[in-house]
Amino acid sequence: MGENKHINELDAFAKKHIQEIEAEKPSVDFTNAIMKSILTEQAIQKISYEPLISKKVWFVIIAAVVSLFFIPIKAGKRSQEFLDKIDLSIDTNLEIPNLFESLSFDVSNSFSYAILLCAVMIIVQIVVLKNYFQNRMN
Amino acid sequence: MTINNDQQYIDRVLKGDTNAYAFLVDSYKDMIYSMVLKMTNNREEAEEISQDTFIKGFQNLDKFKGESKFSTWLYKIAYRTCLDAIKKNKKHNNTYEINDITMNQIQSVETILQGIERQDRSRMMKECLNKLPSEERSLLWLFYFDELTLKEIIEVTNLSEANVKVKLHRARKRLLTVVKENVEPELINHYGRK
Repeated sequence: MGENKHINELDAFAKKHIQEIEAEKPSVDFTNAIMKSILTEQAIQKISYEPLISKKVWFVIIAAVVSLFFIPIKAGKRSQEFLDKIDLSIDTNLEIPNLFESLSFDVSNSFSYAILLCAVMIIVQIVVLKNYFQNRMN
Repeated sequence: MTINNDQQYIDRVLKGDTNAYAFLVDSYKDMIYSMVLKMTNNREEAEEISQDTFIKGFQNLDKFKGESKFSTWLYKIAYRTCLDAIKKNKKHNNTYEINDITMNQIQSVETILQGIERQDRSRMMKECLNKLPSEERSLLWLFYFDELTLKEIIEVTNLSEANVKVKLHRARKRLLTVVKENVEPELINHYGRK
């Protein structure tokens, strides 16, 4: 009985004085900060990268390649006869003149190093520019 | 805000109206921030954890089934996030020894408190509460300030009923000890003036 009264008294004490404490308030732009963060995250999720060649196109390509291999086999003899009729001697008959025959290149070492350096710089620039534009878009 | 109102806004958010979530944030930000501040005792950290709580709430809103109040569900997220942050920081409170409390002590402390102006008393109580261990501080806050029921506190903290009751009792006793030690100089002044 005495213990209960003691607990009740302590309970009343805590209740009275804790309820008197003023509630704390967060900063003024608290809600804005949360909404901004949520909306940004949503926007990031919306940007989904699609492959250049979609699955549908890949399927068509594979189907085309497979059919190129299998249709002639199935067609059998008829395809063989058809191929025999085609004149494939064009490559052997064709005479392509060598345009560079009269030209002779005498390149110094330093010139070839300069060309090599230019090539390296262009390759590096491609990577740097790609990253730069990607960051700007993000 | 009523439970029905909460549910309306929750439904709107789930249907894609993200901005409706701002109403829920506005409704519960003070409650969540106050509780988190009681646990962490650090304004910057409390602000960060409170924001984190609301963001987690948004991300998991589809998991809220309405079995409890939305506020209780948010408190639960906030409580867990706070515990993780406290574990990371490993801050220790200076704990006060709990002395045996007598009825006379409660009454004399009460008399002294009544002699202090309301604003000063509120400030002093806040300081005293901040001297308690974070778990006791947050339990007292949830039970007395936010007036959560024992059942709701059990849901938020994941503690057993007996455990919550024991911890609450210990917290009340420790609070009185802290207040008594803080008002004693006032008591001396009080009698000194007479």
